[in-house]
Amino acid sequence: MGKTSTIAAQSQMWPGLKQLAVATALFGAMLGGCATPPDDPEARAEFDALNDPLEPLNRGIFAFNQVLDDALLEPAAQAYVWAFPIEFREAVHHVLSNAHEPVNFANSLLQGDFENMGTVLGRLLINTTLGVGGMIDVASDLGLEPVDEDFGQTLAVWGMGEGLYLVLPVFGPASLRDGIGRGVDIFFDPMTYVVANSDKDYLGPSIAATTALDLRSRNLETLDEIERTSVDFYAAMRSLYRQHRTNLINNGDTPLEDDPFANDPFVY
Amino acid sequence: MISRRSLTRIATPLLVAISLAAWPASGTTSPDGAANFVEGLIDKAITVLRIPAEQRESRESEFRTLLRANFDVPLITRLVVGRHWRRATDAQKVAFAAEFEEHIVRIYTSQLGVYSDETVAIRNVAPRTERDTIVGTEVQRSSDAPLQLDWLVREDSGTYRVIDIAAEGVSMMTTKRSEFSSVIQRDGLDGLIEQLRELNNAGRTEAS
Repeated sequence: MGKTSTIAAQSQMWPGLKQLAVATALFGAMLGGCATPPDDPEARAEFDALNDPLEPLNRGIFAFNQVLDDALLEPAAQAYVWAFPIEFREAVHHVLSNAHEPVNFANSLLQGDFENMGTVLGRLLINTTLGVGGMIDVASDLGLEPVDEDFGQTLAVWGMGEGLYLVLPVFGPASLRDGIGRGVDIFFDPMTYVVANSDKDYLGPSIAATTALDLRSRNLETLDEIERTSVDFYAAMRSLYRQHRTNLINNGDTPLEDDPFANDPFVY
Repeated sequence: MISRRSLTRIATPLLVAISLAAWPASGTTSPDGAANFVEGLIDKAITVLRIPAEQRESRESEFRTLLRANFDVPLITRLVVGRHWRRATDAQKVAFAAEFEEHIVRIYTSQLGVYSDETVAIRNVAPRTERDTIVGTEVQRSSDAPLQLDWLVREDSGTYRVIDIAAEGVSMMTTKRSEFSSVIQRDGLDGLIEQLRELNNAGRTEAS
């Protein structure tokens, strides 16, 4: 670590070295980012179940994301809530969700879930027409509740394990599998092609910013509550993320098929 | 090799089938008892949550009474510490139990918010083990999509007690166990007790 900081100090004299210093620091963080598995068998079983071998690195990225959130995302989301009425924000949310339906459709198809495919198709048709371009979620009132499918879930349905727990910069909690899923879903998202074929440079960043504002503003109270009521926010989020994903993969089925009390391999 | 998990998966639907066949509509089976218990508990909980948020003290004391009477607090306390419980001293156990109960009261009285217009309906009931039953309920909210709330209820000689709650598939026990384990590994059980105390005290000063 001492070496890294020396390079960083020198880089002020030679600006070209700055990138090298950043790269070295990142590499150093990655090397130091691996947790050593414990020897005690019980502790080892717990370590394996947590599936977070990169915990030190993940905690670093998590802390970085929190700084970013405190400085930028949370205040921006609060301002968004303050400035726009709920009706407007709901309409924005519905338009974004409607434009995202092809991702749900593609993944329902890949999972062989024909019921969900029908629901998604029905929602897209009804909300685009009767819902005025997706602004109103008429389909939900007609019994077609929103479906949430992504490629990470598709990989899970295909039998792929979680890989390992990852915290992505900016995007937050993920896993190796869900990280790959995020990448693949970009290709299912029609917005990707709209942005690529548009000559308006601001379109991509605007959509990204709106999506971020929408997501963050809908979770202001929940995230705040979790942070205020946890002794280890990182560990709480890791557990919540994992259980939430398991629930999504199982499509929130009844406790008979999907036991929410079996996420942790211990006996009550 | 058949794992314990897959055995339960096979056994649970079987148990339901058998119990349905054996007692067509008697109303005396254990799942019904658990469902009635949860139904009653929800009514009591709604009464507590109707207390306005400003009357924080009475909200908390009413909730504490409800918690002690209807939840297996000693079992939950032991399980949430997990493997570290065995090595804990009696003094540590007592100190942890006190701070943990306070922690739970704080989480639920704030997280659940003030009761407005929600209605709770029992969706399904399924035995999990011979003494544990999952009671699945659905909370209908006018402003948002329905919330799935599952109760894990244990029967002990006719008395029912909640041992875990899962909202949208997220179990309270799993989350807290994981969180506490992380802290114990880093700072020991004493460290966890101290951090819980600080968190509880922070909530106290915030209120006044």
